[in-house]
This record gives sequence, structure tokens and C-alpha cells, in this order.
Amino acid sequence: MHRLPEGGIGVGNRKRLLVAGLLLLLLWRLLFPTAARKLRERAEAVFWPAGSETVAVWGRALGEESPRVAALRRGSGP
Amino acid sequence: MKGASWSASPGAVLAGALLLALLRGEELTALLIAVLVHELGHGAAILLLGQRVTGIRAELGGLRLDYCGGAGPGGRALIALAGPLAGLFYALLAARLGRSWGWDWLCLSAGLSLLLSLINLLPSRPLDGGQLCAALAEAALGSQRGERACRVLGLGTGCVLLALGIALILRGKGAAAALIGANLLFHSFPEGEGLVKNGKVR
Repeated sequence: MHRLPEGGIGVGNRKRLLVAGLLLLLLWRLLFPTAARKLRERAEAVFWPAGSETVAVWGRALGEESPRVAALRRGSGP
Repeated sequence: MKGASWSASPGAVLAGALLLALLRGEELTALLIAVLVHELGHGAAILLLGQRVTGIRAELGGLRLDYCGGAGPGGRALIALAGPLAGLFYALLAARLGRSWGWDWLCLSAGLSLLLSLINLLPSRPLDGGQLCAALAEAALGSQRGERACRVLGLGTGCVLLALGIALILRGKGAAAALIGANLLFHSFPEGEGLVKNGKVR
């Protein structure tokens, strides 16, 4: 059975492995979009259901102008 | 950042792979921008305080900037706080622009930056809040007592977050909070040793 060299995988090979792994991931998403979507939905259900939507709502709420500021901007006063 | 070394832990590679596999393109870019702004905040504070960045490490919990230059507790506290403050400022700006322009991606990025900043302000060791507490505790209590106080605070934070996370799991809200709490608890312990020795907190 092939054994790893002493000291593990060399730096150059680690970089190649990393690039290969990233390319495989991208290929997975391109070639199997349905499977990728189902995996995402399952992971979302386990980790944080509707997490993306919730965070976007927080962002929109943060951008809302408070009623007092809106009134001042309109010149109608508090 | 000339001369700074770059490294990534296996956990960081795994986290990156998971994000690449599971997030949509817009979510990934929104997150990357939020992280970039956060780290630029730290970097700017490091440079403004006359320190030098010696390394950039990607770890499971995120990016970490190593620096040197003899910053005192006050300087270290400012550097720790700079990241979350930059993130909060970006969150406000992105949220306002997102609302004005009707660009949902900006609102998402604002929300992610807000979440990232608030989590990082928790007083636990691997987070910016923990670094801030460590610097303030060192200034107030001295090195050993300050370190011990921060460990206890970090342990408490991890326990509370884990308990909250378990409650959320039972309500069907997902395991995110529990995982973060467990990670913070794990990092509360001195590396390779227990928290308590001979009846005393380390």
C-alpha cells in the first residue's frame, strides 16, 4: 500500500491538492446543480433554516430610516 | 503588509470548501466583502498604531492577523475593536445604500457584516471581544489574574451560547448557535490542559 512520505504531503503538492479540490467543487456545482441545491437545502435546514432570508431582513431593517429622522427630513418636525 | 506570511489551517480549508459548496454566489461574495472590511479594520488600526503585520492566518473560525511592535494593552484593545467597528460602519452604510438603490445584495451583505461584528464582540478567547477583554483585564488586574478572569468569562459565554443553541435546536431553529457555543467552549481551555488544576482556575 502506498505510504505518505515522511513529513506528510509536501507544500507544492498541498497547493495542487487544494486547487484540484476547489476545481472539483466548482465542477460539482456546475454539473450537478439539482444535487447541489438539495444538499444546500438540507444543510440550511440543519444549520439555520431560512438563515439567508433572515440576515437579509436584518440588513433591510438596518437601512430603514427612523420615523423621527424621516419627519425631520420632510421638515415636519418631531 | 510586506514580509507577512500567509497560512491556512486544515479547518480553514474545510470551512472554505463547505462555503463554496453550499452558499450561492451572491451569498459568498456578500460574506467575503463583510470579512474583508472586518479584516481591513484590524489592518488599518495595526498600521495606524505603528505596528507591523507579521502573518495572516486562515483558521476554522475566520481570518487572524498576527502583528508585532510592542503594542500595550490600550493599543491591543483598539486593534481588537477596530474590526467589529469597521464591520458595523460598513453594515450601516451598505444597508442605507441597499435600501436607497433597491439592491438586495447590499442588504444581505449589511446583515452578514452586522452578524459577524456582533458575534466577534462576544467576550470569548478566539474572538475580537475576547482579545479586547484580555487587553482590558491585563491593564486592570495584571497579566495572570486578567488571563484567568478572561478564561472564566469565555467559559461562561460559551456555556450560555451553547445552552441557547440547544434551546434553538429543540425549537427547530437549527444548530448554528450551538456549534458556535461549542467552539467557544473548546477555545476557553488552555491548549492541551484543563481549565482547573488543584482546585484553582488556570
